[in-house]
Amino acid sequence: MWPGRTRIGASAGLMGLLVLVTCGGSSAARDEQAWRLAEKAYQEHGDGSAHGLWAALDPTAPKGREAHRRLAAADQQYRHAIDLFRANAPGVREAMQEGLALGPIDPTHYLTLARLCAERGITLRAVDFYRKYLNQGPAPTEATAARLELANLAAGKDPFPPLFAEGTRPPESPQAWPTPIWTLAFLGPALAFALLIALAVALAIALILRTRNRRRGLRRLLADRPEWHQTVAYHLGCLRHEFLKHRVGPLGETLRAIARATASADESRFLRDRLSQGTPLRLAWRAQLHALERSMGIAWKLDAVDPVFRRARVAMEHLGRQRWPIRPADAKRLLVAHAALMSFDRQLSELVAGLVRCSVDEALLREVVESTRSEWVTGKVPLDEIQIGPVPPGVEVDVFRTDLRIVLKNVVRNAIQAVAAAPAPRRLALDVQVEPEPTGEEFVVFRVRDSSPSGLHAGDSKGSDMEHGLGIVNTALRRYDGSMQVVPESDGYAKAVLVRFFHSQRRLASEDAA
Amino acid sequence: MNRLLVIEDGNEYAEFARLFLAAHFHIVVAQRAADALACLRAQPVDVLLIDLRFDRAVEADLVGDVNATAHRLFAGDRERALRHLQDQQGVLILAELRAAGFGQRAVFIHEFLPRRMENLRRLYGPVHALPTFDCAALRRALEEED
Repeated sequence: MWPGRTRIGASAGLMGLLVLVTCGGSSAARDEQAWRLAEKAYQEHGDGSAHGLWAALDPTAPKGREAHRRLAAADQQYRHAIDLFRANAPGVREAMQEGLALGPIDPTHYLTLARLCAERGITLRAVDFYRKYLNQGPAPTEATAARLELANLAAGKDPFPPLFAEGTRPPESPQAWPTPIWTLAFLGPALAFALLIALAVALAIALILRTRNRRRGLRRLLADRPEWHQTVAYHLGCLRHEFLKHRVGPLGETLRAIARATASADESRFLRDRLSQGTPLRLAWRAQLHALERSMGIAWKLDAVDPVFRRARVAMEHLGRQRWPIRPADAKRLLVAHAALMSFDRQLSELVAGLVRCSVDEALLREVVESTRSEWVTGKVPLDEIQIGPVPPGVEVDVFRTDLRIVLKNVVRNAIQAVAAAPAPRRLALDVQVEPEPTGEEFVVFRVRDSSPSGLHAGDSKGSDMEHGLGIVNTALRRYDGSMQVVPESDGYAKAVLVRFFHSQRRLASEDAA
Repeated sequence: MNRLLVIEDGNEYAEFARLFLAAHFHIVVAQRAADALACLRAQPVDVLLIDLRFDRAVEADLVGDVNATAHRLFAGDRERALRHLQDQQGVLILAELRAAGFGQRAVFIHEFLPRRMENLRRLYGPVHALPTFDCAALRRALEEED
């Protein structure tokens, strides 16, 4: 379960409590109680989830004024820390700690921090920041962008100081206030009522989210969740092969023969066997869809929500409900259902062809090298020669661009760090080759060569290079059916890391079709 | 009458061929590469109808080394390598047959992308593919001259 849901509910509840508190009693008491709640939320969660409560305090009341002053001062520290982090300068941790001592961080900073961490390959921390950002319920446009970026991050090493890790607490506030007995007596029933309100709000939010998701068809879901593309492509392939091609596809010939009143007894038996024997059509269909739904972790039935799947289900049920023997007039109706399922097959083919892919060109390789060289550590390594390309034309891989950049940046980063310890001339080269397979498929091979023999005996991606941050690469390789090998090189290079992904071939296919 | 060798791990292709193509071809069936080779050596065969995916085939019957494939292509992951060999088994069997000197026209019922089709023809000569079980189109693909 997405951990933020609980937090959203808790924040909504606290906000409701804050509203209640500010609606009754004297202004001084309201100010005091509201401040206490906001402070309590910050002490409990230790992150930006309390920022809204602090910002909602009345700036004209003494406590509220003080809270706003602290928020502004804290924000200066957080911004300073972000600037230092962006410039790869020291002092990030100290600036963050000073901000934490003053007040909660503005959750909008989480997105900046997440992107900076992602850029630097600090993926675990980036994921954490993205989640914290999304937990605060940002605007839909920003949320969609952040969700996309988050979805394409893989797990990796995390050298960022543990300032915002789950369970950490900010330092104690410099002012501690004793709680008067009369306040507790007032807060008892108020708290109970507020908790009820909070529960209702949380339930309403959950219902809204559930309803919104339920309305989504597969195409829309995939637009928001590129990390599902690989597995969905695989399951749609199974549905097409097992159900539509083998089970339904051959029925057309016999149905046409029956419609023409020319079918033999064997042909009729063939049709009956296909429709009646083995797993019933309806169950075979549901089993395939269930596998697809489960792979995406959705709790609703695609053929009840998605109109394309719903039409196919209706056609499938029509095929499965015929009466025996089938008369020519019935066969004509069943042929319509058969045609609908064949049309569904073509729609799935188009859907799969439009899933995640990334064009590979020299600009991408250049961007990877420049981005890696802009990092603090790798930027200091003097390189005598950097060679980028060539890249064959029309190369595409079924890998989300962000993930491909993460993989290549990690390999390039390791190569640069390796040559730093090697004697001059220090050389680095990155190019792409297309290798044919006996199956007629092709592999796109990203070749990162360097002049350091370090890591040459690592073998494949499970080798010792894992210690240098290649765990993140392995995660992406598993996700996209990729692989990595380290091989010896010549011509002034000591080794090459070969990263392989399947060639998507789709663009060239459409060109040929045109 | 021409001989058609159907190569598949199940019986769907053979059943379809016996029902709709028996008037035009003598149907012979093999369920793995070794059987297909034995069949081709024992009797003349004019054309091959090959399933692409052999999901039901056990590892021992597959063309291709799972461990070597896992190491070379899938970062050592045997499960993915096995799936890959099963998914592409029809083409790998065709490669075995071609290597053994059998150059008959091969027909797949699969939607190959154009670039892959070009590669297959470059590697294995006369190869055709149809997207669905269409009897008339299948007969044309099996019978027409290259």
